[in-house]
Amino acid sequence: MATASRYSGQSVSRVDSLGKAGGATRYVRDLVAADAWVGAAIRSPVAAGRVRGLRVDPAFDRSRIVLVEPHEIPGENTIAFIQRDMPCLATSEVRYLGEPVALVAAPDRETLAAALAAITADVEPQTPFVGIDAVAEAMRRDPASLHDLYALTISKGDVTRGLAEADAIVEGEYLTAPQEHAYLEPQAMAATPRPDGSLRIFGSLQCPYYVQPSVALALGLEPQRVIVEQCATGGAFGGKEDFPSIIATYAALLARKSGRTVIIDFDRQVDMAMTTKRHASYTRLSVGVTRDGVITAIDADFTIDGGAYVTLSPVVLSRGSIHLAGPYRTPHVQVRGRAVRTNAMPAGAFRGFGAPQAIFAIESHLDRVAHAIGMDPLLLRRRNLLRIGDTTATGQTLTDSVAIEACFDAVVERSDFDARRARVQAQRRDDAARSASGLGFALFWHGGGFTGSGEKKLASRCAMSLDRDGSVTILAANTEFGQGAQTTLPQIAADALRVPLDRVRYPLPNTAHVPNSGPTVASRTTMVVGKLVELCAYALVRDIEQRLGATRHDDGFALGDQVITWYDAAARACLDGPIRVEQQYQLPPGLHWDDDQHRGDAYPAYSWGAIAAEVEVDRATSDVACTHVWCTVDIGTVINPREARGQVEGALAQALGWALLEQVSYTPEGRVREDRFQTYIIPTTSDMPRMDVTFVEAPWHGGPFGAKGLGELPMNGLAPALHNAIRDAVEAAVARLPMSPERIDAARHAARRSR
Amino acid sequence: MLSPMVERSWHVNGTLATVAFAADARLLDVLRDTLAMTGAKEGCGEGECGACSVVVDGELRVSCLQLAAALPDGTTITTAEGVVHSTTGERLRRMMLDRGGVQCGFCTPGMMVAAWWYLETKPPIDARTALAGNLCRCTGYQSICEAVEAAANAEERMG
Repeated sequence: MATASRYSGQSVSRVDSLGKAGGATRYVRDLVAADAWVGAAIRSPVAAGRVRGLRVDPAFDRSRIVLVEPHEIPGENTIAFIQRDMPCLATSEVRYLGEPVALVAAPDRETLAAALAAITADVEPQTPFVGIDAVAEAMRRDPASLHDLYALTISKGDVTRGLAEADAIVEGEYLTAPQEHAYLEPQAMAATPRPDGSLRIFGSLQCPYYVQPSVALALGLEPQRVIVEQCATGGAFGGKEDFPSIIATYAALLARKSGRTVIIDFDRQVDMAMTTKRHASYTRLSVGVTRDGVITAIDADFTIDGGAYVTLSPVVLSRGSIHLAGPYRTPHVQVRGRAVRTNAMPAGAFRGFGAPQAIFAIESHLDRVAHAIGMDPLLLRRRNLLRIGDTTATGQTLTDSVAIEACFDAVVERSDFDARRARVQAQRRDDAARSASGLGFALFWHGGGFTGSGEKKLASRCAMSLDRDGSVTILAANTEFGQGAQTTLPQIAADALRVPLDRVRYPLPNTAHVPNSGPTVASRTTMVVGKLVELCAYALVRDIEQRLGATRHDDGFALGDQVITWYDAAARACLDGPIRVEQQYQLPPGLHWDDDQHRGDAYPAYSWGAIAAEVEVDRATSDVACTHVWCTVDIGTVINPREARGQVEGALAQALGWALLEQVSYTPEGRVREDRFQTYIIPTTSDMPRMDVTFVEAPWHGGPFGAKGLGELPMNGLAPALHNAIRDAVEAAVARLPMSPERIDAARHAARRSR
Repeated sequence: MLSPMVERSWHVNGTLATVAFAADARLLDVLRDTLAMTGAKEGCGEGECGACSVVVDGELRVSCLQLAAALPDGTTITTAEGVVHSTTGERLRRMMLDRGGVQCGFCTPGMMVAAWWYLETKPPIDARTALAGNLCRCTGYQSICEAVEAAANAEERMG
């Protein structure tokens, strides 16, 4: 159906910005009634051990609190993610420091604090295994000693043959630290018991239909007896994909026992110490290349630290491994991926979901490869670029919507790359200058939607309703947490319906009212749910046409020889009440995926990007200032340019922090050292460069009006671009994030010694 | 042990408010719990994130580090709720919408307060420096800085 775009492609104003700018928008802490109780977990003081029980101070008055111990869990003692290996409350083995063994709720925070001081976990300690350095060391010396949470191999061609065909084989190792999401609103979930035994769960979350089954399983309730409502959510970035299920279950258990609304809201320190992080990674690469710059083989070990339990690690590992070979048509690829178990808090979802770690490794490494054969790193990349008709590492043949080369060209042009590189090189020859400049470049990609057969299994459903007054409501489980979904999905709906934008409502989801349109993750909201919204709109129009015997026209509906307005049509069609239509997502035909072999069409469509970064490295202190970033991405049709730009710029800030500033490390005992904003440093205005963000549009036939995924893509390229820029500036490589001044200093000294 | 209660009369967003609160309460708690003004957010509780920013007698403060009892009667306090009802605040809000300075919204009230303070008091620094005490994890700051600069320029043209 041809549709004139009236709103798609326009920077229409966000529907939620008036309330947010004036402080009127209520988040869960702003909503909970004053008489609600507060809850918390009683946590293991050690990272590994056997639970002996609870120690309770006999002087403490237990009548003022409720305590929930594991044997009181009415359902299964499990937090259900991909596997059911993580207990809701540990009963025998403790696998990370802070693992909950019991729960407590109190009428006020003073009493709660007193309870947490009086009731402690008694755990017989064992020696923990923590940190990416320990993982890397085991991979080097005794890889069999590591315990796999999940492992996979991606194979294309014959990597041994590919390496044999190379003129040079360049090896390297790359490490990345865990990253904290640092959403400004810390985690908070609340539960209210209802007289009929059902529960109302509300709070700061990404995926209401992840919370619902998790709570239901532990509480032993039918899922529909757990009503989950999203409140305004102050940032998420993946951090509120899996974690809210855990504290919602805790709040639910405490609410059930106390008979009161219970909120579990973390302060920043608890949030940083006890919530999921981006997986730390250790990547070992061997890349074969011919003298004239053809990459013949990529051979990689990609190992991520999954922490104590499986949670989402298999899919993070899968996405990372698939993206590792980068946007290049390398004929021979092998990636051996492992998600290994350590005694850290389970790692979780974070924007990019494994891809940033993998792309950091390959894109940093390609500059070394280029250096080894004396070739311009940009030329090396261009020579191996994926084009339509080429196959990816999983054997997927690209058939349309591949604009990586256009992104490449745009960044080269907008940054005036060649002239700038000459200037930067000239600047570096000035020994009197306080800092050394460097220029780096990287390419990146990101598959939209769930990996492989994921979207098929999800079978997301979305609904749309029409009221008598002509207003339309989008009924989807997808959440707004800053990215602008509450604005962009209505834009798609309004265009497909051909109604004014202000006629379309998209309230925050409540599982009592909306079908399961899947989680708000994996860059799938615009691309997948947006398509469902578009299909619902067409179905709604067809429904009205059939009811009235009319035909949709631009000005309304043709009914016999008269034309009636949208509003007249709505009033007539809704005589017996609102109309509701529902659609289920189907992947475009012709996509095939083998779950066991990790081969086939990994994603229905990819988004693409290129980036250049300029840095100044202080010659005395090795402090890095990133001064300029040029980034061009292909996300297909851009539905809302202002909000799309916001997604890119925001992701670039997170990528800059990950690359240069943000460090989560563990003490040998397994405690997070950086558990506050005083020690965990995220970028401020003074850390951010000038960002030049542009789009090239290669519409994808399967997306709404041609749109593809966006949210995660721009997380993927800046870290390697900065790596390459710093390498350019100081002629020493720091193959480890964060690239702190100390590490750059050490690398410069090591390079000087070896010269 | 419960702290003794104290009482203060302040000018909050132009209205005289008499409030009673515990002697050890933070200004943030009094605003949120006693005055039910939830625009100020607690993002860290240790003065690092700026989400609880307010203006106290013309000075930009983080209300999580401000002992409420230390503010005497007659203190003037401006919060995000007050900022948007001022001419400067209204202009700022328009620019924030126009440039895309609002995403998840949790830092936004504090950001609005800091930007309003910058526009009202005109310190000899640029907008980027003025906002360096306010963390935002969504936007990358460029849109926010552009919005504040645009509001400042609009003011100059009018002024």
